[in-house]
Amino acid sequence: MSLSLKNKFGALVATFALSTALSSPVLAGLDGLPGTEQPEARGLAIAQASDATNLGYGDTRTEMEMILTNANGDVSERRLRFNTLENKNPDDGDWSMMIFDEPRDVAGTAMLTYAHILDADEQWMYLPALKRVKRISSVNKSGPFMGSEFAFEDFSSQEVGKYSYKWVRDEACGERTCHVTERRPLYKHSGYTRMISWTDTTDYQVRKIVYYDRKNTLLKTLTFDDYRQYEDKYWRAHELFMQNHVTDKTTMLRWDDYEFSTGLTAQDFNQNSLKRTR
Amino acid sequence: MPLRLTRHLIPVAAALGLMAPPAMALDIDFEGYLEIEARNFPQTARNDDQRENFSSVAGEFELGFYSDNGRHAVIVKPFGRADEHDHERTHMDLREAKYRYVNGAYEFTFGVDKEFWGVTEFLHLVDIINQTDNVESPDGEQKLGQPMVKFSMAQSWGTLTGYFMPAFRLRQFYDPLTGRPSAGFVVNDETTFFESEHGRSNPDYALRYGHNIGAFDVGLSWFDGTARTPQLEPNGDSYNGLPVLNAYYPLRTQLGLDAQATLGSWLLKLEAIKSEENDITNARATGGVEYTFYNLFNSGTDVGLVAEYMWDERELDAPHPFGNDVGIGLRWTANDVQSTSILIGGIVDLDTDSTAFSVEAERRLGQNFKVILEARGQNYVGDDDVWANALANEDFVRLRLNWFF
Repeated sequence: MSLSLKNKFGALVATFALSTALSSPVLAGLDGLPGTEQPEARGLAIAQASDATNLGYGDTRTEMEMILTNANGDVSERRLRFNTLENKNPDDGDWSMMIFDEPRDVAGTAMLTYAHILDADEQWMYLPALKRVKRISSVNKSGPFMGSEFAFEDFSSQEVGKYSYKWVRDEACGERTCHVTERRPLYKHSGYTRMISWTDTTDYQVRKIVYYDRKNTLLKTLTFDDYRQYEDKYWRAHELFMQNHVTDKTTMLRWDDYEFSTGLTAQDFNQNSLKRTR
Repeated sequence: MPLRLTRHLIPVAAALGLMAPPAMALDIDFEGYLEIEARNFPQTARNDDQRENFSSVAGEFELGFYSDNGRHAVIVKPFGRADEHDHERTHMDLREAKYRYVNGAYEFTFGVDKEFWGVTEFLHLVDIINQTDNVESPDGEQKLGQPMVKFSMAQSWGTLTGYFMPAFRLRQFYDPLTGRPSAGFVVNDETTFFESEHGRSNPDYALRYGHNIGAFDVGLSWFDGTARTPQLEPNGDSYNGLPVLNAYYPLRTQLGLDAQATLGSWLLKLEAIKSEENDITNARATGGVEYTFYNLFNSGTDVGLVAEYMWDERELDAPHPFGNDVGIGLRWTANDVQSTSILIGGIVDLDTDSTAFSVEAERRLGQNFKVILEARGQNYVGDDDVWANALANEDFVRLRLNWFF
């Protein structure tokens, strides 16, 4: 009897594409978006503007530290590496490789994902102790990622087509002004009925997302901080803080610097390269 | 990869030979674990020398040197265990010791390596490259390092990998005097026989083609070389009252198929082999389904169910216990901070009604420790089941504490 005890880590992709935006002259002016009397069209346009600013990023490498804190203040840490390859096909999702470094008992475990927009993602997990590559189900969207307050779907490639949108209002967010948009998942197995997102009106970066569970009760809040711009174009948030309002647990993600144009190709996102991760 | 405990950037000029650029930087990784283990066999042993309790220590580390362009790698991974009573279980093995060169779609490996083929959970049929490390764990999951030359290419039409294996690894058995689980015989290493005139140096070859199309992952494999599983034949001698067996390793050809369909929460799996040893052909297959309830009742918990059937056309005459068996497994994954999980499995022999079970539970302690509890045993031993009878009093509990670095 030889069932593997390793967890299945479920869906995962590298970029928070919606969090990456660029101040674009096209979108400046008297906001250039559909009017407030068309909230659906306006919400979609905001998401598209956000997404468009990440177009052409090519490939990235980065690392991330995850700090889990429970209601008693007990802390646990994880470290992961992410490699991402942009899919040139706008109707399909990106490719990613995620490699676990800590906790040490899962070091070397890696996950390869071919993300799709509404179809199920394709995912393979590499278990280094057995040197075994397992094709895994990508149905697990709503479960916790590595015991954190992030669900697998929070990590997924945030393609525009995964949600329906509805603009709610524009309002101040800190010292900035944000478009407030409601989005509802169109993909299956989501743990959310809806999310409310705050997107900066000038640089189209997402500043905050509030999540409502399947019963439409307030579940958690994600805030994005420490945005840095790469290649004079691509924004990445380096601090993501998730607060669970039901359990009072929190998770902080701290991203290292991103490297762009690292020379990653499709050959770095297949089962052979999955087995070569270290 | 900045997280290893030991990590340096050492400029080395062409340390790895002609293919290396002149000013190559080396990345060094060092990681591994140390383990303390306790095993308890609650049932009465066959003889007085056999123990009920065994303690042991084990460890493994991986030392890797990687060129900064990622093309060259040298990896060494030794494993060792020292067992209090069982001298055969006290052993060392080089799990890996290899040089690897990667260029785009092509990968070349020279040295000792491990390679796993297959998809099913209870029984691995197509997996044949490595010898089983039989004294490590009776589940057959642990493998000895296999010397090989391997060449692999990943193309749009699939991945093709060829293996040349010039040296054979013998299967090891528990110490017949003290070791457990004991099947009640002695295998004499001195009188091992090979069908190949080259003995342990028979050139073994293997080939595997694997491809993924949407929900389907399929592999076709071919092996031509010395069988990894020996035929055990009594030689008429006895040792401390136990019959002495000679291990005979015939030449084997094996054609294998492994396939998995991933359909939502369902996984459908199949492995099948057609093999030939000593001019006798044989067919075996195993396959089944796995279904997982993810995030059950919004608790974050996953519950997976596995059911697999194991078949050999020889059924009861098969030289292994899996001629006509059903395996049922339940995997509970808490997805908590400590990655707690429990796996319960049972196998029923449909010909003899023998049933065996296993329970494995694990949980991380702090950041760098893990505790693993395992129990294996038999609920019912069928009268005509030679395999179950041989291990009738060999149920055990195994507790491990691992420290990872």
